[in-house]
Amino acid sequence: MVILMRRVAVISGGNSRFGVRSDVTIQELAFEAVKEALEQASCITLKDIQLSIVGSVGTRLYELLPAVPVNEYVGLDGVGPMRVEAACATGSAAIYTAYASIACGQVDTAIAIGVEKMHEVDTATSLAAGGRGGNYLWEFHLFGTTFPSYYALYATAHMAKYGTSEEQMAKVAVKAHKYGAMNPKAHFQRVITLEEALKSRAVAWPLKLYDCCPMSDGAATVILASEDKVKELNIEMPIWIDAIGYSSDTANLCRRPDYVGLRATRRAAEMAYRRAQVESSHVDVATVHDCFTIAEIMAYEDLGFCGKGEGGKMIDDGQTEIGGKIPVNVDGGLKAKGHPLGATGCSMIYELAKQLRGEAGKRQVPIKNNIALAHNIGGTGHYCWVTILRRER
Amino acid sequence: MNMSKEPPSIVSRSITYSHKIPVSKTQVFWEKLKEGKIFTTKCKMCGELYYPPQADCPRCLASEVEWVELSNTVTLETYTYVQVKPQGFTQYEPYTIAIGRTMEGVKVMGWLEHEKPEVGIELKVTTKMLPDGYPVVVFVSKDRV
Repeated sequence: MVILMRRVAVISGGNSRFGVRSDVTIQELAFEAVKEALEQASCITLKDIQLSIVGSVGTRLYELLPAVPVNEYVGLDGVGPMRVEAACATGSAAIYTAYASIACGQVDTAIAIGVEKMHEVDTATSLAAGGRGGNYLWEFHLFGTTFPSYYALYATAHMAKYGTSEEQMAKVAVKAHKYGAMNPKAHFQRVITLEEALKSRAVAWPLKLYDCCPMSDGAATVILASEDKVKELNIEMPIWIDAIGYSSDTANLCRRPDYVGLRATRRAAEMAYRRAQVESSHVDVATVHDCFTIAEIMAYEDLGFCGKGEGGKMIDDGQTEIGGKIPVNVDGGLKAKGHPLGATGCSMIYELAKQLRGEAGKRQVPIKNNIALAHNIGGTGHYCWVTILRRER
Repeated sequence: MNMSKEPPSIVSRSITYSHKIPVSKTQVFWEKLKEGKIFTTKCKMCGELYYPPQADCPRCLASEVEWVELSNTVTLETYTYVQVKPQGFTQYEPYTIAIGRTMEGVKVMGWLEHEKPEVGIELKVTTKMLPDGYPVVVFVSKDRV
């Protein structure tokens, strides 16, 4: 197969402050991220953007079809919008759509806007929306599944098979809070102790409150451009999207072979590594989908950062801290930075582009191979996108 | 920034959803559930066993399926004790969701009622009717009569 694809680069990005943002509507929140992206890329204006993709799950909103009001409010006119949804991987779905539109030659520039308001409804309603992130009739309707309970099913199986402990999971939370405290845009900017995490109340045992990401409001955006446009605009430090791998898994958890890893991650990673011609050992820095602490441990394994069943040891040994074998989620991750569903995938790319450009300040990781990896899961491995970014020197 | 004070807000017009779910193609499942049995579908063309049941077989594109009863024993694959409950379930006591593998090789979700659950133990499958009329699959100790 001959693939005639154009190269696509991230040329700018923006990220609102994540957290309880009851001070703003969804469009006002989106504006914060779009404004930053446009201010950062002085060579590009709204008029240069040829396609707008808005990613929002939108199941907890008073605005049921948010793309239209978002687009109008941020000043985009006649260039879409197209609204995409892929549960918690919605931001990556937005980026993929923008990327593919440029790669195939339809447009030269596109913006992916990921945005979510989670706090317009109460917690029980939010859990009922999240618990529908599988197959409603055969799971939620009969058994009252919640999003934490889905990942808890994986945690129990992983603990039984590999001896992964609650303490190892708590260490993931401690690491996330450590870096969240260094990120002014994070929902939680406070370090926590291992004891605090272990003593927090159970939400869906074995997952406790501190094993779970918070419900956050937030927006993040990235502006993408073709190679020709990058040259025309004289972009100084384009971050190239080397490859985007994707996959999925069954809606019903009952139809999966096991509960110790995510098949969607393994398949998406394999596609991304193959297309980008890189190996997991080349990755300088990664953002992985740590909606729950067990998810980060499984991601280490499924992305090939360690062997299967060795994820717990990886966190024990500090191998995913700055200075370790492969720093992971040094922006605080979903766990401490927050997880505004639609925004998360875009926020991951925003962070990694900063890391590759050497602009991450005190959270900067050493960059050797100029390669970064973003891993974004939708639902409980129902969707997965793995994006590989590269900076050329 | 002082976050202790709620920012000003107004209340939306409410919208309430309560859906009518079509069950004409899975009616056997819902009827047998009330009798304490788990029935599911098997494709008459290729023999694929589906759980949850489905009336169409994507493997061979056939829509002729037979209903078969699953064995009432499962091996516990995993479980979680749900303490923070979603809307629609807040009226119940905390419950344990589990997945068990049947002798036929399919996996079934259910509520687990067992004092010392452990991955790998064998459990008996039964069903019960909750006070508000919703049926639920329940996994219990093999010794329970």
